[in-house]
Amino acid sequence: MSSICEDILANGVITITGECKGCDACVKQCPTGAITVNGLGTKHAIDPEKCVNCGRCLVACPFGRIQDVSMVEDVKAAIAAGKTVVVQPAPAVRVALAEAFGAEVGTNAEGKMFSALRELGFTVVYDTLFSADLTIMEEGYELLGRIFKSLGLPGYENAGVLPQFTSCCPGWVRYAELFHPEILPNLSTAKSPMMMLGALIKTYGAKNLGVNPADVYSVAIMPCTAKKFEASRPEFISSGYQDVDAVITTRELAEMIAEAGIDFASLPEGEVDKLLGTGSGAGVIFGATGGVMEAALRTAYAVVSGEELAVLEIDAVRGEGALREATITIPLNADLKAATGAESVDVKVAIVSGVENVEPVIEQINAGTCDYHFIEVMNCPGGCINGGGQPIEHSIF
Amino acid sequence: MSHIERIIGDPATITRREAIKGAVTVVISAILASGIGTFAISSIEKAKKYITTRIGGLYSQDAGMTLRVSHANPEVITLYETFLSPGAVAPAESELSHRLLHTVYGSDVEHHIAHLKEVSIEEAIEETDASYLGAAHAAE
Repeated sequence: MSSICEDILANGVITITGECKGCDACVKQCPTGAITVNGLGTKHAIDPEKCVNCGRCLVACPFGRIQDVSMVEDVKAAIAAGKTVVVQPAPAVRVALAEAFGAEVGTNAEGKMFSALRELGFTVVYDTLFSADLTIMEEGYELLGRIFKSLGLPGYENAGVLPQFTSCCPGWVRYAELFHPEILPNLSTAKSPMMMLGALIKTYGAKNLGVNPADVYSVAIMPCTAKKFEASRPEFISSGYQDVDAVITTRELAEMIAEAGIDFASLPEGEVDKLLGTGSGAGVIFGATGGVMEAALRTAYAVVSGEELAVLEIDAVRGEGALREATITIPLNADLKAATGAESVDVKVAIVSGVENVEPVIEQINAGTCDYHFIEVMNCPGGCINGGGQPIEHSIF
Repeated sequence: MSHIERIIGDPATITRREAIKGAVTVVISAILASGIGTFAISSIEKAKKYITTRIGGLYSQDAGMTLRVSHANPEVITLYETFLSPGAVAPAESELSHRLLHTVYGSDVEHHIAHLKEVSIEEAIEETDASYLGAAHAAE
C-alpha cells in the first residue's frame, strides 16, 4: 500500500488549509458536524473521526481553501515507469469533465474523455459503467434473496434482513459505520462498481490481457473525494494485490489534460476497450440520485416477472427531493406464482439524496416500523454528478 | 449548544488575540454581508441548476442507447459464463463472486482481511471452477 493510502486512512482525505477565513460556509454543508469551530475568527478544522470524506465542504468554500489529498503524482509515475496502467472513469465524470474546458453544463463528453485518457498515456481504458451493470446483478439478486426469504420461500434461509440499503456510495458507507453500526446488516454486501472493477482488472482482466497482475496499476477517475478513502481501505485486496491503486477526481483529470497541453475540445470521439468496457443505460444513470434504484428495478422486474418493463423510464423514482418513496408492483413469473400463491409483489423503495436525510429512515428501522424493501442513499444532494470531486464553477467571483 | 455559543465559546477563555481577530472578522463580515449574502443565494441556485442539467446529461445518454438494462450487457454475461460461475449466469452465488464482488463492514473487516490472506485468489478460482465445471461434467 502506498504511503498516501496510509495517510488517508489515518487522517482522512479532506483538509482545511491555512488562511481559512472562518466564514462558516463549509460548516453548513457538512452532513456530520465534522468541522470544528474553535472560536470567533479562528481557522476551522476537520475531525477525521467524524469526516466521511465527501468534500461537500470543499465545493462550498467560497475561498477555495479546502483541499483533498492528491494521488496524481503516483499515477504519472506509474505511466512514466511503463506499467500497464488501466483506467476506469465513473458515469458522472463524462457529464462534467467538459465544463472545465468551457462547454455547457451537462455536456456529455464520453468519447473525448476516452481520447484524452489515451493521450495521457493510460494503457487500457475500461469503464465503471460495466461494473455498474455488474453491481445491479449482484446487488439485485441479493435483494431478491432477502425478499424471497421474507416471503418464506425455501432456499433463501441464509439471505440477509430487510430493508436493504445500497452500498455504492463511500460517503454513505462510512456514515453508516461511524454513526449507525446497528444498521450495517441492512447494507448490501455488494462492493461499489469501482471496487468490483478493481478486483476484476487484476484477475480476469490481467489474464485476458496476458499481463502479470503485479505489473498492472489500476486507476479510477471519480466525481468523488470519498472514493480515495474507499480505495485505500485495507480489505480491498481480493485480487491478491491492492485492487485499486489510485483515485483521481474529475477536477484532477481536467488539470492533467490542461497541463499536458491537450486541446480537449478538438479531440476525436474515442472508443472504450472491450472485455470490461461495455455498459448499459442503466449503468449510465448510476450517477444521478434515484439512478441506482431505477437500474435495479429494471433488472428486478425482468427477473421476477420474466418480461422486460414496457417503459424503462421509472418516473416514480426520478426527481431531486431529499427523501422520496415509491411502490412498484411486479407481476410474478409462473414459478414464483406457484411458490407464493400470489399474482404479484409490491416492492416498496425509498431514495435519499443528501446523507443526513437518511436519519428518519433509520429511526423507522430501529423502531421496527420501516416497510421499505430497498433504499438508495447518496451522500451528495443530486447524487454523484454533484460529488466533491467535480469541477467547481469559480466564475461566480 | 446554540450556533452562536458554539462560535464564541466560553468568553472567559477568549485571548486578547482572539478578541481582536473576532472584532476584525465582525467588521469585515458587516462590510461584506450584502455581497456574501448574494453569493450564497446565487451559489445555491447555481448548484441546483448544475444538478438538474448534469442529471439531464445522463438521462439523455441512457434514452439514446440500445442497451439499457444491466442483465442484457453481453460482457457481463460473458464474465459470469467464463469466470465467475463457469457455464452459468449465477449472480451472487459462487465463491469467486463473493470474494471479488462482495465485502463486509465495521467490526467484520478484520476477520475478512485474514480470510483474504489465508485463501489465495488462485485457490478461490480453482474452487469455483471445480464446483461449476465439476457439476456440469457430472450432469453429462
